[in-house]
Amino acid sequence: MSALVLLVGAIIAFLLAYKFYGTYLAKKFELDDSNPTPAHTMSDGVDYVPAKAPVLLGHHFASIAGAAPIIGPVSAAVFGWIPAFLWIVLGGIFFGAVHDFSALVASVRHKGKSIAVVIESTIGDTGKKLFGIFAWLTLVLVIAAFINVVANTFVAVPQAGTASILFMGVALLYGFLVFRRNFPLAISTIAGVALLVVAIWLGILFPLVLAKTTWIALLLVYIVIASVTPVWILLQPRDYLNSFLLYALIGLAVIGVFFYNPTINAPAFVFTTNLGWLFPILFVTIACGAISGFHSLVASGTTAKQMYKETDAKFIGYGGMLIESTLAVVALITAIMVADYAGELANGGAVAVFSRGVGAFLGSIGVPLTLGVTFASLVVSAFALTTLDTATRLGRYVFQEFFEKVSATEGESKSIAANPYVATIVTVVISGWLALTSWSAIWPIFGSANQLLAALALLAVSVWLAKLGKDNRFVKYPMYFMFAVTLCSLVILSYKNFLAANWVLAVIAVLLFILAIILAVFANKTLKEVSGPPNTGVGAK
Amino acid sequence: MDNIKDRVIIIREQDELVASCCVPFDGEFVREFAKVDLFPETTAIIRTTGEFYQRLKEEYGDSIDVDVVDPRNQGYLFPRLIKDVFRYRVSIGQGLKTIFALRSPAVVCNGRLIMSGNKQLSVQVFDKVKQIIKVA
Repeated sequence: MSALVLLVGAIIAFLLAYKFYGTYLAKKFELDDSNPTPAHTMSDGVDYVPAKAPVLLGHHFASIAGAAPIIGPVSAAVFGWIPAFLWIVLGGIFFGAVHDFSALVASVRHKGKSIAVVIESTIGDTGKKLFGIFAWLTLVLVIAAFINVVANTFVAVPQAGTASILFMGVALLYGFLVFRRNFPLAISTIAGVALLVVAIWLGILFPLVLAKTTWIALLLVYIVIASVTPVWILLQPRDYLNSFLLYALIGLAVIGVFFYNPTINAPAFVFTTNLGWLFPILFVTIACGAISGFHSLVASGTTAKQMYKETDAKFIGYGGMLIESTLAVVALITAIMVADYAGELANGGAVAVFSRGVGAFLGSIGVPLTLGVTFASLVVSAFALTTLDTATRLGRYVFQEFFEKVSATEGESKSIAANPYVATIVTVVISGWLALTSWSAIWPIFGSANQLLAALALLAVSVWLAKLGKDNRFVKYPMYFMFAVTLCSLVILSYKNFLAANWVLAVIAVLLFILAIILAVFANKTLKEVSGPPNTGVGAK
Repeated sequence: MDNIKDRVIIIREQDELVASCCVPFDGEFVREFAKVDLFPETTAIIRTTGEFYQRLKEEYGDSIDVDVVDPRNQGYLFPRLIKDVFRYRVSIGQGLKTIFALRSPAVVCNGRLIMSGNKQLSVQVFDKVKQIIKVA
């Protein structure tokens, strides 16, 4: 069967969902353009700036897209193409897009405040504190998972290893010219993209063949250095070039898949795999391809403060997630068209499978295979590397802040744990230790943390709607499901890791499980407390 | 060009990164949980351009369009600049300047690049905008 049927079917389903379910949700939220958004009422030209829908979709989508919606679906293909495809499509429509849409609306109705503030106002200060602990644990998992992803990719596609190192050099040069010498953007970017092509070409000529543990060690050194250097040196310029690569990759992959017309070679259903059982592991493995808790932070961060009119929330929140799910379907296709999927996944990891698939797609439009594979590997690795050093930086800050707060509360002098170098070393050492365990053990726990955050955001929206006496079933049922998935997967994963003597992973899984239970109790208590208040309208603050 | 609404595009970075969907790395999240300003230079530019934005709004209200765009949002920015160059009938030289000489931060008024790469927005920039809008 042609895999194109899946892509076309998914696109049709997403368009219909946008038209009908998106409109239904907009009615439920009583979106009304006569209600001024915080971007207008609090306009300061700094944080609160009204931005029209196409501008804001560009900002929002660039923030929610990345490596994870590619890695998740490729890894989940192990469960067979039908369940993976169904969860991306149905999960995207009824869970992920609803989650992003509702987090955006809730934030807009709370003066554009972050979902963390919404959580605090709905389930109290304890919820916010737990959120801080959760954030650090998740960042450690993110670092471990992405170190593994990048190391696996560089082992499988050594050309991408060379190209990625050279790409850092290009980014350093770009940063110096643009941020310090004030060179014009268009000319610098054209030169940057040209140098990028040279980097890929040199990567193909001189592939860097190293062992996985060597790559892991190098990446650990890299993230320590990258996380303490000023952002304009490497992070901002690479981010700028990444944004070009993202659009190029998505555009070329979608065009290429139509020319290539791949055939499905994967089994339809597999209930028990090396990752675990189909339920709940499939749902945490696909992660961002169907629903991602991190999107609520993006939606309630910059996006809510810049929304021009209320009805734009459907286009940006609901529509943005459906575009990401489309990318997830393309990623899934690269996995299910491979005859020896298990072998390729074991030898090169998810990014290598995806890159070979995209390389084949690009081959059908005349791009040489090695060039296409190296290009796709470089793009995903570039995102993964950015994720790595941003997560390390953020992990350090969250760790420092937590201990500074503890010292201040107890009236003690500043704790040594609040020192930036100590905070960095602790974060990196734990992540590095985790990275040495198998990737297949880390990713589902990372996925669980991600889905727990999604459940938490859905909980905040459910409570908010219940407090207003409004129908909240469209967020409440997905919230219950996400809590069920998270709790079940964390129990299984804790047990599995204890048996495998992966102690750090097992402890993190247990901590996340306890956190999920506490939050579930909060949810139940708060939902009971707020049942049956007078209807004050969804727009009420 | 009487029927065409004037447009000012302010180009400046946001204090966030196009990192990945897994790391919420925007300025607010970092300020909220880590209490640091990670992008001090960007923040300073955002403040300066913010004052400029406010001044434009006070002077013109909704009678002109004002877009604030991150230079990384190329999916919107470059088609918009090219469209504006044609829409406001900018000369070839000016049009090429708008598209190729743009440095961040920048101000583009009716397809004309009137400020580029200057981190301090001078009074003259506002006066130039007023001039262009008046002529149009």
